[in-house]
Parts: sequence; C-alpha cells; structure tokens
Amino acid sequence: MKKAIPPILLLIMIIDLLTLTGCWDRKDIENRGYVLGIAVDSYSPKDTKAKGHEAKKEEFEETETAIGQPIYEMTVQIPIIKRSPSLAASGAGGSSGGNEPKTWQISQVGNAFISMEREMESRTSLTLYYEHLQVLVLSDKVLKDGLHNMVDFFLRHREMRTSVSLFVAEGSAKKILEVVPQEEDHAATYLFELPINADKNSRIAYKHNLGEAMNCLRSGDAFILPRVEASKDEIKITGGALIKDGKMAGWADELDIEVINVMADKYQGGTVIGRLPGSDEGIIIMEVTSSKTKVTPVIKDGELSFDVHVKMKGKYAEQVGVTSGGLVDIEYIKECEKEFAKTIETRCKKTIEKMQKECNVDVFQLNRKVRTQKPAYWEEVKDEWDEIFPNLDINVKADVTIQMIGVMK
Amino acid sequence: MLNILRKWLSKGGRGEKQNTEGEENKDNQQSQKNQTQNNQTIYGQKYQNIKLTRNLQDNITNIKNAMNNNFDIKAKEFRLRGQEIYAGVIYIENIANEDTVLQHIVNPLMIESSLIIDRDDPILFKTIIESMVTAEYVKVVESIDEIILALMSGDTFLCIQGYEKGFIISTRKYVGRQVGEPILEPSVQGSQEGFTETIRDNVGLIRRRLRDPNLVFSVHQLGRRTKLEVVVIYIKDIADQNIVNDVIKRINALDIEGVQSAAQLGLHITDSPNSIFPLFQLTERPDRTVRGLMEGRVAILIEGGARALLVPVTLPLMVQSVDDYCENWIIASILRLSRYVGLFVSAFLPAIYIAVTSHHPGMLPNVLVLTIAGSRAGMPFPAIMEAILMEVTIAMLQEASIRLPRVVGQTVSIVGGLVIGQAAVQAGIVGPIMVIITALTAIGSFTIPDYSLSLATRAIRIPFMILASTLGIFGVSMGMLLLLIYIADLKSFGVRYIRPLSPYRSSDLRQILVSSKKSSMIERPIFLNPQDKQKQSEAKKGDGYGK
Amino acid sequence: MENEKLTTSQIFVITVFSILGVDVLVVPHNMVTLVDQDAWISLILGGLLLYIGAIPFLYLLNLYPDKDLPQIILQVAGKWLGRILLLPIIIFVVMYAGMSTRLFAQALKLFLVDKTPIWIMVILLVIVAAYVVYKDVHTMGAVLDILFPISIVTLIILIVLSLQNIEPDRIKPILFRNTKNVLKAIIPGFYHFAGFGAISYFLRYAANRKSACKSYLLGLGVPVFFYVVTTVICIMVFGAPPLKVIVYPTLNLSKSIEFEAAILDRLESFMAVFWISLVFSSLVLFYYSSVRNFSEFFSIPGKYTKYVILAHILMLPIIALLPPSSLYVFELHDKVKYMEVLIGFGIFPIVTVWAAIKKKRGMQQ
Repeated sequence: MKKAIPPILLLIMIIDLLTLTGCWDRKDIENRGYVLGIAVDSYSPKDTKAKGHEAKKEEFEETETAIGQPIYEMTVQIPIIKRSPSLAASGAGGSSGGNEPKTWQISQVGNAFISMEREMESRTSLTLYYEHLQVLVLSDKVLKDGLHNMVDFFLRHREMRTSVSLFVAEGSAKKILEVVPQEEDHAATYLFELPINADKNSRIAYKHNLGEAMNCLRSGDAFILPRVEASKDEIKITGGALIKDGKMAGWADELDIEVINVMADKYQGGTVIGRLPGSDEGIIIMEVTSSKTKVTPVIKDGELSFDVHVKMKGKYAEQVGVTSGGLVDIEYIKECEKEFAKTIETRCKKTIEKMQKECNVDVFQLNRKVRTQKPAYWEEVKDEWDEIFPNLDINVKADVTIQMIGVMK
Repeated sequence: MLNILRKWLSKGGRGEKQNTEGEENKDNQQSQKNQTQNNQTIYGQKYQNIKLTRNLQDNITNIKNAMNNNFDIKAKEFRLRGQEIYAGVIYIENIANEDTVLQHIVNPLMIESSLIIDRDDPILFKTIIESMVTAEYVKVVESIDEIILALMSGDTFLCIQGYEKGFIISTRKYVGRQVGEPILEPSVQGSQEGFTETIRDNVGLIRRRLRDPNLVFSVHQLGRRTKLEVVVIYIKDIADQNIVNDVIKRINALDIEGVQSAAQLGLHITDSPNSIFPLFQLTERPDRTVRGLMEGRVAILIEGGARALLVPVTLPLMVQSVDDYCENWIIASILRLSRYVGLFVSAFLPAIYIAVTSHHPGMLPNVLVLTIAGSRAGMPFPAIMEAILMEVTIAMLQEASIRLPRVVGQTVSIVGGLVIGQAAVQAGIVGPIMVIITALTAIGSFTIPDYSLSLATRAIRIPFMILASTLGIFGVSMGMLLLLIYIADLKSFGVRYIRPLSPYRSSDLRQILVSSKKSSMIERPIFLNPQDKQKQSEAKKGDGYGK
Repeated sequence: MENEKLTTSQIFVITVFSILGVDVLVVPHNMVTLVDQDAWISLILGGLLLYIGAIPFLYLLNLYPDKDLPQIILQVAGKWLGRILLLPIIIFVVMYAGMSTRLFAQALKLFLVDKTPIWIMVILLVIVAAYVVYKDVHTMGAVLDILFPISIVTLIILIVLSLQNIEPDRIKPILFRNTKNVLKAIIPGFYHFAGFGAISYFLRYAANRKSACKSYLLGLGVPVFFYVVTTVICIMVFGAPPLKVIVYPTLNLSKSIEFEAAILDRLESFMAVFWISLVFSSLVLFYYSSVRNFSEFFSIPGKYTKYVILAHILMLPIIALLPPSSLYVFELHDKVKYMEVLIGFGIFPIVTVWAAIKKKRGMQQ
C-alpha cells in the first residue's frame, strides 16, 4: 500500500500559508458601497460658486487634477444599508424609515473617472463596488463631447458589467438620480426597471445597455439611447438621443422612437391609431400583438434602395367617435386594416425623412444591412455613406392583420 | 433450524480458522495452506506445558488452574451407571446452558447409560458420544488450548477417566436483546428489524431473508484476548472471489487484543486508516445487508456488535437508502437527488456563503445583496468568525444531545434552539442569515443515510470555510479539487471509492446515481466485479413489468 | 487493483481535456483579430489540419503500443538524436503548462479575485495539480472523469444562454474578399488545438486499444466543435470589430447574459468557477506529460519520479511568473503554441517515418 500524503495535512499547510500572508480580497458584505447608479454631467469651472454652508461640500467635490482641467462631474448613488427595508423588517433597525433618504449621492468633479472614483473613496467609509451598477445616466452635454471619451473607464473596469443600462438626460443627469421614487427604494433601480413596459408602449426606446452601445461604437453604427426626464418623484422616458460616431446628433421624439423600433424590428407592442373609415371625426385604435419588419437592400442599376416590409398583427382595441351603431364585420375590418397600414406607412415615412434630411443619422442601421448583405457595394460606398444615406429611397410597405375584435362586435 | 445454523457456524469455524495468533500471515495462499495442516496453538506458548493426562482429577484441576480457578467454573465428576468409569464435565456457569449440561450430558451418562463398557475396549470412547450423550457433540479434543477456548465460548468439556482426550459438547447459552427496530437507520417502507448483539440472531436474520445455499458464512476467531467470532458472509457465485479473499486475509492478518464492535473491526481492516471518509459501510439493517450481499459485496458480522460491516463500499452506495427500492424509480431518484443536495450543502454551504458574501457579492442579485448587507450591518464579527462560532455551537449541541440521557435530551434542543435561534440574533452577535445557513447545513447533514459520512462532512467544513475566507470562491474550488483527488484516490478493498461515477458505465450510473430503473434491475453493478452479472433473465423482465 | 486500466471513455475525456483548455477563453479574440468575422472557417480548417496531424501520430503510437512518446522517440532515434528531437517537445509541454496557468490566473484575477497576487493562484493550481500527478494515472482518469461533465455542461449552458443575445447578421458577409486571410489563419487555427499529442502518455494504459484509438479521434472533434461554436456565438453577439479589443471574449460573453432567474443573475463569476475545473484538467495532463518527458530525458528511474514532480512545483510557477505583464503573456502563449506546428508537422512525421522504416526492416530481417 502506498503511503499517501494525508490531504488534511496538505490543507493545513495551505491554510497556514494563506492566513500568514493575508486575505487579500476579503471585505465583508456590509462594508462595501454598492453603486446602483452613476450620473455623468459636464462641468465647467465657472459653475462653482461657493455659497454659505454648502461651500465645504463643494470643496470636497473638487478633485485636484494633476494634468488638465476638470470637465466631468460624476455622481454615484449608493444605498444606505442601515435603512434598507430588510433590517426594518427584522426588528433590529427599529422604525427609522420615515422621510430619511435611503440613498446617498456622492458627486465628484474631475477629468478622469478613475481619479474621481478614488477621490470619492476618501469621502466614504465604504469601498465603492460597481458589480451591482444598474444605470448610467449621461447628460446631453457630455454626449455632445463624445461617448468615446468617457466610456472607456466603464468598459475597462473589472467590476463593471456590460448589462448596465444607458440613459440620457437633458440638462442635469444628477437630478435623475436625486428623484425619490414612490415604489422602489432607489432611483437607480426605479430607472432600471422602467423599460420593462416596452411591450405595452412602443414609445419606449428599446433598451440599450453598455455592451450594445460599445458594439455599435466599435462598428461605427449610429444608435439611440433613451432619454429620461424627472420630476420630484417620477422619471419618464421621453424619446431618445441619437448617437452618431459616438456623439449626440439630435433628439428623437416619442413618435420617432416608435418608428425606430419598428425599423429595428424591436417593436414589442403598442398601439396604432387610424381614422375611422368613412368619417372625419372618429378614430380607431389597434393594439399590436406582434410585429415583424424585414428590411432588404435592393440594388437596381447601381442605385441602392431599401424595401421595408412591416407585418403587424393586432387586436381591434377601441373606436372613438362612432355615431351610428355599425357592426364590426369582415368588410369593416378590412377597411380598418388598410387604414392602419396607411398610418404606419405615413408615420414611418415621416420619421425616415426626418432622420435622413434633418439629422442625417442612420439610426436604422441600414449601413449594417448593406455591409452584411451587399458587401461588394458597401466596399465602394463605405466612405461616403453620409452623403448617400440622406438620398436613399426607402419604400415602406405595411401589412396589418386584425385577429381579434374584443368582446363586442 | 437454529441448530443447523449453529452447526454451520461451528463447522465453518473449525474448518478454516485457528491461525490468527502466533504468526502473522503476509501471504494469503500461504495462510490457506497452513490452515489445513495447522497445529498452531490458539493461546500461543501459554498452555504449552499443560497436557491432558489419563487421570480425570488431574485434568479437571489443570484446566481449572489454567483458568485461574474462577468461581464461575463448574466441574462435576460422576460415574457412568453400572460402570467403574468416571467422567467429568467442566463448563462456565453463566455462558453455558446449565440445563443442557445436566439434561443431555450428565443425566444420560449417569442414569440412563445401560450399555456395558469394557474398560480396555477402544470403541468405548466413541460409544459414549455416539450412543449416550444426547447433546450436540462438536469434536474430540486433545489440546488444552481448544478446551479453554470452547469453555470460554460456553461449551462444555466432557472428559473420561483414562483417556488423554475428551469431548467438546455444544452448550452455549445466548443471552441478548430481542430483535428490535433499527435506531440509526429508520426506514419508512422497509422492514423494522435491526441486528442485535448476538451473532446467532443476526445470522438468522440474514438467512431468513436469503434462502440461497450459496450463501457462505465463514467464521474466524478474532482478538488475542477477546476471541470473538467474526463471520464473513458472501454469496459464493456472486461476490468477487478476490475481494472475499482480501477480506479474509486482512481479518486473519490482524494481531490485536480484540475489538468490541463492527466499526472497530472496520477501522482495523480498512485500506487507509487516515481517511476521514468511511471506507466501509456499517448497517444495522438485515435487509440492507442482504441487498449488499446480492450486489456482490461482503458482509462481516462480529459477536457482540449490533452492526454489519459491508465492504467494499463506494461514495454513491453510501447515499442510498433502503427506501429507495420501495418507491417508484422517479420518486426514488428525486429522494436520492435530494440526499446528494444535502451532502453538498452540508459540506460546502457555509464556505460558499462566506466566499460569496465576503469576496464576491457581485454573484448575488441586487435585492439579495442589499438584504444580506442590511442584516449584517453593525455586526461585530466578520462572516468567517460568525460561521465558526455557529459551527462550534452546532457541533457541541449535537454531541451533547447524543451524550445526554434521552429524558434530558429535550432540554438540549430547547436551550440550543433558544440560544442560537433567538438570543444570538437579538443580541447582534450573529446575523439571521448565518443562522439560516447553519440550520440548512445541519439539515443537509441529517439527510445523509450514513452517520460516519455525515461526520466526515463536518470535518471538512471548517477547513473549507477558512479557504473561502482567504481566497474566496477560488479557494473553495481549489479545496474541492483537492477533495476530489483525495476521494478519487481512496479505495475500499480494491474498489475505487468514487466508482461508479468514474469510469462511466451507463448501467452502473443509472442504477447507483439515479435509481433502480427498469432496465437496470437486470444487471448487477459491474464495478463490484460480480461473477454472475445478470440479476434476472431478460424474459423475466417482460413478465414482471407486463411488458 | 493492479490490473486497473483506463477505459475508453476516460481516453475520450483525456483527449478532450488535453486540447480544451484555457484557450477557450481567448480563441474568439485571437482568431477574429486575424480574420474578422470569418474566424470560424479558419478554425474548422485548422480542425481538419488537426486530424491530418493526429492520424499519422496515432499510427506512430500504435507501432509501439506499450511505450509513451519520449520512450518511442528515444527508441527510434537513439540516445543522442532522440534527446535532440525530444528537446522541443519538453520545452513546448512545460512552457505550455506554465503559460496556460499564468493566463488563467490572470483571467481569474480579472474576474474573480482582484487583489490576490498572481503567484498565490499559480502556486496553488500547480500544487493541487502536483497532488493528482503524484497519485497514479488512474486517479487522474477518475478526477478528469468527474470534472468532464461539469466543464462541458458549463460550456453548453453558456452557449445556450448566449443564444438570446445573438444577431445572426453579424457573421455576414461570409468569405467576402477575405479568403486569403482565412487561409493564412489556418495555422493559428490549428495551433489553438495544441496538445493533441498529450494522448501519447496515456494511450498505453488503455484497456481496449482499438476502441481507445477510435475515441481519441472522436474526442479530437469535441474541442474543435466547441471552439468553432464559441467563436461563432461571440461574433454573433459582439460583432467582429469589438471582438478585437475584448481580451477574454468568452468571459465577457457570460458577463453579457441577462438571466432572469434570480440566483443566476450574475453568471460570469459562476462561470469563472467552472473554468477552473477546465483549465485545471488540462494543466494536470500537461504536468504529467512534462514529468514523463523529464524522467525519460534524464533517464530518471521510476522510484525517483516523485522528485521530478516536486521539481515541477518549483519550475512551473517560475515559468508562469516569467512574463512581466499580461500583454507579454498573450504573446508568449501564442509563440509557445506555434511550437505545436513545428512539433506536429516537423518532429512527429520524422519520427513516424523513421519508426515505420525501422519496423519494416525489423520485419524483413
């Protein structure tokens, strides 16, 4: 019989080795500051106006920069663990709840995110920890400088995950995180959960997370980031920001978002409105249950054009302003279908035109279609896509099928 | 029937043993050869100079002296009726059945003997035992060693004036517990009988369940002083002969004072005595033993031990329970799976908890991480200290509840529940999540059918916790790898402890890991190397399941 | 028991693990850097090349069924020439073991334990590997047997869960003005399958040689399949341009998965745990191979093997910790793997032909 090294001995040896040299990564769970949201604003030195007792805090927020001037203001939101609901439930925390804030926003000003982050560590007893980061809110001013400049930190940092949701705020991004939401405990969580209703409301831009945004950036595609606005206790997704070459190139309103969703085949659900057939006043509304869009690049005589075919299925949801008690029958539904298709086509055309002429942002990522499906053509035009895109012929054709009419005829 | 059994026992015993002492056999074949022409003494040189003489009185005195004239040694001299032949019996009062001695030996010889016996007739000696004594005759003995051993076992020595030899007559009295319920291994659907301390009853329990003439009981005497019977049981045409020989070889090679229980014996014959994992299976259930035998394993019973020792054993076999075979295979698989989960939880859960919370909270979802952090806010100890504290408390509680008399046992659970569950949390020494983890760990360890195995999980828990707190999940994984290598290297009587998880063989896996699914009822687990690989014929399968 | 043998399934597992190692973390990145979205074609072609290299090699091993690679080389090429031929193999094996340990420790540091020094992880991995090598080949087989389903199931889970993120468009255009690059990248495609020779140290323990050879050839297909599939999935999820900057795409892949079921919310750390078993297994195989190599090279008798094992505990971490930064590690790792081409298409054929001729002459005489 072979005499084996008792593994217990081996284990003890290893454990000794370890405990003697130290525990490098150990940090108990309650000693970390879980950053749930980050807001990035742009900063220009003239903003600092020391006033009264706030002065000290303002001073804290300055990061001394070795090279260059501070241009960003980063705000992180961490939950105050003592006031987390579970503790109150277990009885040890008492009923401290009330109106006390449940989160702590720390702001810091500087020109590099890592130095801002490290400066923040000097202001908190917790170690900032980013694995639970949910949202990144960017101010439109920052975006105008370019996303490239700032996203590097978030991609390189080991704790960051690519599933962080990106949002754009007009004006101050910090304000969004300062919202005290009604349902959730933390503004960041609230914001993160918002796009969950994208299957009910097509005007919510389909979610863009950090990873996808980076992919678009690297591939040179234009994309859209949802825009958020805040009141005291509410946040709303209103339209989106168009990003081209990593810079913000304009706003898209909610109706545009709808079309962009359709074109990107990310339409999950929503309503389509149409005129009541044979009437000037009434309107009919369809609830879309499924939507499929096919975008095909067509080259005819060396000219590129696109055929967009939208297929929607839905329910007849509501009619407003119907005077006579006309029944909903097959004939009627057929007319309605045509009516809806017409609305979709006009809506699409309008937005496409806006994107082509006004903004010149290929937010539909048509360039990708060309690149993947007509590679030979793409090789020729890839450098002058900006000139080609506004003049592209994009034909939209919509097919609508109404499958159900509800419980009334 | 019991008589037949006993014959089995005695014959088998006399047939193949008797060289346990004196020399240490390194070579099995050698030892078997020796057994046939064995003239070795049982008690070594001790009684070498005492010889039986023709004088009855001398013999009795010598034997009594050899046994230090203890008060319970009874000797009776008498005269055969109508003859001038004197005879004597010696027995030990409390372990020999006195009624048998008087009724079946003394009575017939003294009163009922009517044959004329010629003093010089050599036939006489045989006639006494063949025609006169009605008690069960065992053998003729000449050596004092054998006589003493027989007396010590409860047999009676009958000695005749004028002969340098005598008879051993079986008069053993078995006093023991009634067959009771198994305590450590209760079963819902299985039988409610458990082994007792009497080897004769235990053999009967097995015999009753397995009426196979190929069932072999090979008896060995073990212990320099205790001289207890050890019975090695196997089914001749199933069990791998190599394993059987190995077991017998190891038992015969033992040179120890004596063992009192099957577990002790197991520790003496195990492959690696340093192993924290049990390399033999202890069971108090006859039905489990029988199942083991039919799988081709070897069972070992020892006089005075209420457990059977089943070897070889592998880790997956340890996780089986008798109830597995009483349920539909789907249900049984779920049950078994839950036991595997229990095994995993009981060994690793605290370590994983520590690693995740103190190294990688990123693994936890947002809400959970805030809940745990919230519950730990303001705790004085780091998670590792908390865990060790709880672990020690639980270990003490378990130990206390075993040691305490059953009447007081209630108190322990109340005190323990109060101390751990409530006071510690309220005082803010231990977080509520830690209490949950500890409780889960304890529950997990209770699902393991084998007590020794659940003790093994307890032994590895704290090292893993330390690894977790120094290196996080990486440390835990390295520890698991180390453990895996260790287990993979262990062998139980030549069978790797990890089989049949490796090497893969689908029928074994299905049978051991999942459960007795239809098709796997046909074949025996091949890793035990059975001679007869089929359990039932293919045709039977069709009949049995109505196709 | 003494007559224990490696079963056919164990040979299969060993084959898979000898190739499927730390490379699974970096293959998509490396290949996409060379050939953009057509990387997977190069990989498939590289896989074919793998078979072209492996089949004659198997023939060589079957010429000497009871010997392992270094013994065969020494037997065929003689004492001195054999040692010269053996030298590149020795260097390759020991460097490969060292580099993959380092590469993996680096990935662990990045994704799991930030502040723990690399040397601790390297040494720990090597010590545990030494422990299993110190036991016999059969223990090794048993350990790998257990780790195999764990690793493979993890990979499959990763692939299946990633399917929700894919955009099949990204893999197009296929082979558009890229054929030259694709062909050029066959060699790198091939050397990512480095380690197919590791079987030569285990085949002689096989219980059933014929089916073991079959399972070896079958086993070679598994890593090819997984490398191709992970590369395709990575391209479809990230797109070719971003892949060029992602260092560990496979780990990032698990990072990008959003899984609703609460406990698996964050997959990548769990994945990192299972990578450990994958990389550990290939480390063990290379460790053992290296120990055999050194023992044969210096003609160290069997009873002193344990000192060779101990020497490796020192040697491997030193090699692993040699490169000063992670960028050097990638470069060195690639260079070491390049040696596989030299060995697979230089030394193995020479030895094979030599051995075949020798056998034939022996037959004639």
